[in-house]
Amino acid sequence: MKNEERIFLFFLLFVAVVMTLMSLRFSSSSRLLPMLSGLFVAIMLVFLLATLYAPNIADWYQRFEGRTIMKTDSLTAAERKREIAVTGWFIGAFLLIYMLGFMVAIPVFLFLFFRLYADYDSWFITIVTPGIVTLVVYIAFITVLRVPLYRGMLFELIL
Amino acid sequence: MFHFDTLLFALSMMLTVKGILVMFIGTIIGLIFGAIPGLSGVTALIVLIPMTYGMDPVIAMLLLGSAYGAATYGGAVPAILINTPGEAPNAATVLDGFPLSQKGKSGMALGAAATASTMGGLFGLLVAFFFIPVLSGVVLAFSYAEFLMITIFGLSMIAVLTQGTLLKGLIAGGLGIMFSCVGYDPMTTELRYTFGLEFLWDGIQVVPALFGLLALGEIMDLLIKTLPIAGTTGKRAPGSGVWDGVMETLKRSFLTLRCSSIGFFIGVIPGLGGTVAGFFSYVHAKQTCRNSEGFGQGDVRGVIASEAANDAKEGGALLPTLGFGIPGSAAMAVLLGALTLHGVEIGQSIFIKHLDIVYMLLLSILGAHIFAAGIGLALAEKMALVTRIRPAIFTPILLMICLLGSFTLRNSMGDVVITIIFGLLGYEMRKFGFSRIALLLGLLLGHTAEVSFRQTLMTREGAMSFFSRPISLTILIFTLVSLSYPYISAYIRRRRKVHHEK
Repeated sequence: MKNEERIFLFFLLFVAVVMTLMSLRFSSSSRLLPMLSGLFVAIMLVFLLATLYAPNIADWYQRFEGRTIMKTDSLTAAERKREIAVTGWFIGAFLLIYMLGFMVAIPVFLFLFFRLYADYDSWFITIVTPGIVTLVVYIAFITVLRVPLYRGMLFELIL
Repeated sequence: MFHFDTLLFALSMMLTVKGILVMFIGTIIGLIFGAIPGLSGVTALIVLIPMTYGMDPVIAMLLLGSAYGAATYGGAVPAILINTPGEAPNAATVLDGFPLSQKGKSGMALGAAATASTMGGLFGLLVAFFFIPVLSGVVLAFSYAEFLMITIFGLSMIAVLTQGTLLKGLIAGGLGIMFSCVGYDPMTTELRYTFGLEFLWDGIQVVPALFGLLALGEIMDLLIKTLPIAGTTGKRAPGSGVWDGVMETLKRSFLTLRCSSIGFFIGVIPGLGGTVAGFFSYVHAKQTCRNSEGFGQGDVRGVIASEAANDAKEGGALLPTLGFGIPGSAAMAVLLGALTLHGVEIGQSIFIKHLDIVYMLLLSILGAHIFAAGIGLALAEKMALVTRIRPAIFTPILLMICLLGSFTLRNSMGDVVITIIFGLLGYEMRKFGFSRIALLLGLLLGHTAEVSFRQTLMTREGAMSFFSRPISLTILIFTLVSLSYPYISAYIRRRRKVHHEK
């Protein structure tokens, strides 16, 4: 878990440093807040990383603040697998919407999710529920609110 | 300025069968729009305005006011049950509302939210009724320096809101401020961190980020842990305890009153909004209540503070909107449009020429609060059942609703991308003990802080105005006292302990 946290902290540090360096290209007044906040975040992250690598710094800080620095959820092996799967499903949901648009992606995603991830056999859950949700979305957003929902890349190309 | 006969006229219009029916319909619409993430009171008003074209302006205001008034309470329901605020002002409600649901006490949280909302709403509107003319000066007293001090005070709350280590809270807050810099520079129109992406020109919007950080982060966690929100243990139905929540709120009337005052005051200042009001009062409650260790882990006082404030702010927000034509929020801007549409002249003259409409608006919001609380209390037990459903059934539907809600804000797929990115970030932050609320606060206040700071420097007095303007200086002192208070009180306790031991 500590390694994962280190990767996350290094990622945040990378973001902070890149944003700080990019701010140097802005005009003097525009760069003020991004540069200051970027530097602040970077310094804090370096300090936090130091507490991971040097236990004496961590001890000192814990004495100073009186709280444990590392408060992380520990995952089991099965949960770790699900974590990767769920991340995949999230990205998949976005790609489906991007390609097919909301009105097609919603029933397709819900059907696939119930069938493949949640492993439901019941036709009520796998077919009727996505149908009801799509109908509600259609009535609420298209009929009542008249929101022009995104139609998807594929439809944009075809039509 | 206060006309009792006009008030009675508005009341008599409201208390007809037609008036009550219109108000009931408005309340139901407001509740539904408030409870669905992505829709809000603003959307409800936009949908309803065309329906009011042929109506009498007084009845039209009754419909619009009740929809607007009910939406804020509607937003508290998903905030408590599924960690997804229906509207941005309910963001602070999740801090204790959702942990209460996780403990199987969602009924109590819903009961407290309904009661606090009603009390806060009543307070805000009653103050607005009697003090609108007197308080008008407050709006004009706020300039850039005061705005900056208010935002600094808001950012200082990160220290109080952070649950884990302060270091991580500060990092999260700093990240939020960094992300608030994305988009057009408001002063020079220079593009910052847009990477050629058009949807980033207007910056990272708070609502898509909010859905990502709070809702998607929680959906991921629920799917990974595979347990219902309220867990599987405990024989007590999660919806029971609604009346406990009501009683808790009534018992803490002074807290409700204090938080309502904060909400009202924030509402009066245009541009700060209900989200800030909710957080300000939450922090106030955490700092002033005894045994505040439970805040953030399911303390009903957190729900009371946030809900009382974000409903009381509506009364305050009406003040700059009606009195000066300065809308304090998006909903107020839409309401302003509706008033103009019905031929109502905005400005000081509204209190002379159209006082009946002003009173009807206030009465309708007031009535909506009472209706909404009644409906909320009646349905709380049923609504709480969602916390016992297997996450694999409702989370994918919630995911789709959140993505749809993000899209409909600006009809932009870019906002959907932001929701997904912040969702993944929110999950990782949750896992590693970073405060997501601190990031949200930075994102929310960073922009205002930057604009106010730079605008103050451009004034004749420059940086000196931070100290020379009385309100600005008072807020600064208040911030310093608020930040140092926990350390000073801890020091005094230590000294007392040493003294007693001697």
